[in-house]
Amino acid sequence: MDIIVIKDLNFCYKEKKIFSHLDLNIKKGKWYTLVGENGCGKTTLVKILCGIIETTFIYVNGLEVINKNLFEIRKKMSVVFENPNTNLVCETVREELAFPIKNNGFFDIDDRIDKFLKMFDIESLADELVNNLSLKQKQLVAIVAALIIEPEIVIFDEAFTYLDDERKRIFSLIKSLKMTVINVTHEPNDLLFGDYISVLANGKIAINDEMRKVLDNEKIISSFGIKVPFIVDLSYKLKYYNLIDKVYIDYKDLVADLWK
Amino acid sequence: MEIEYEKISCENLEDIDLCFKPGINCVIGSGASLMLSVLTCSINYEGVVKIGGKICKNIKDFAKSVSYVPESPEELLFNKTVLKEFRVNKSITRLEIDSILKLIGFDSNILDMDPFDLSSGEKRKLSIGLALTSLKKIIVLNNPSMGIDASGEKNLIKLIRELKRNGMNIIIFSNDVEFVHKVADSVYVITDKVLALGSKYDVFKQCDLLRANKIPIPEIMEFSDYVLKNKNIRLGYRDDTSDLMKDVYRSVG
Repeated sequence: MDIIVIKDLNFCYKEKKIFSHLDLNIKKGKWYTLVGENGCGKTTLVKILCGIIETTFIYVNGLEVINKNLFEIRKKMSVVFENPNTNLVCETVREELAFPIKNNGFFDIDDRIDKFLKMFDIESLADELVNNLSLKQKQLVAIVAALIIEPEIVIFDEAFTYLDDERKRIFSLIKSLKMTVINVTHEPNDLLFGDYISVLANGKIAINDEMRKVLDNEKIISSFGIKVPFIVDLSYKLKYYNLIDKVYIDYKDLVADLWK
Repeated sequence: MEIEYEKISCENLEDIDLCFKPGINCVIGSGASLMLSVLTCSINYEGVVKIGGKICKNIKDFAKSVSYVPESPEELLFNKTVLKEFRVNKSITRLEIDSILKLIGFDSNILDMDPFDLSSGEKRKLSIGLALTSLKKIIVLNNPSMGIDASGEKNLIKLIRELKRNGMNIIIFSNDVEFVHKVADSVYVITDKVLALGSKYDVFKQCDLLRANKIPIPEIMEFSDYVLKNKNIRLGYRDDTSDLMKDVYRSVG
């Protein structure tokens, strides 16, 4: 079932055409990695999906993303943008986590906060002032605040830039919450994590397919200037010289195959 | 023109002695951001920082000799058009602007745009271009590769090498070891002390030391280290997958 449907989106900004007949279908419960060159419109697309920019023929959970439906849509959708300073609005971390819970009408505030503080291993930050946190800590708190209402959809717009050393751990935790995820990213290794890869190019979704199918096709992915993970890049080169016959996403498997 | 740290101590840094010589210097590790804060006089510290042999006592001394590109490009942007951003430096000529635009990979159409309408990667490139207008001999960049796409990264590396050819001393504070591996002449690993320093080859081959101190290692090195430890095969220290592939081919073939 498709939880997000975009049909024939055309959008201009200050006379510049951003999207042209863009279609996109996002399946419920799947993890999508959305990539594209700088300036192609990734953040604009995110803003359209959550109704910050209003346009037509965008459906989230069956509701059209227009003003009268935004409250209903946003109860089940969270968005985390790149700059952690713009994501956080409260004085302390505990207040920051309570804010979305209260906004969505949940009453189990303390239980939820305790559960997510423990899950993400940030119990020590609970009573800290948000302004005193490092950028890395702020970004993590913003992510937890987005997840604490357990939305059906969560969109991350380059939201892990300060969390490089913890990405895998955090991704695994998010995956365990079984939401529909759209991760907008420039980080090549993020391509390995999700179910689907979507490439935004020339105003359209040029690719929207299963991760393995996309990465197996070197010509397609490289034609859009997308950075691929090291192990995939190495696999392409080794495959070219017939040293292996498939693309690997784990270097231990690659090594085992090369030196049997 | 050199930057020197003499006996620098502050919270979580102990007795750091360092000198950034001409070239592309990259600072990584948990102490890197503190080192940058010391340099930009954002925190209190003991010891002395010298720039070009002169003691740097405050942000004015720093700004006199160093072009600084912050991590968040918005910190440098406040005008209605990109052209007006460049013309904050009143003495800059149109020729110089065009030359900088070419260097950072933009065409002149961008001059009429509102800088806040640019994407995050475009703003980052612009912030580097704006830092170059002041024609200082030292440029300090804070996480310049963040949010940049593949072609942006290629252009950034090309730009940094061009700045080095023009005689600039470049100091990059970065979390991105893949980028550091591609661009650095010298790497400095800072925890609470100088953990390692030297050419990127000398530093990144010390995988066990870096891992023990939770310093990320470039994947090409992780791979080579894994092959050595598990298959007892020594691949060369390589810059990219094309070179590495030749080693693999020789060893498998």
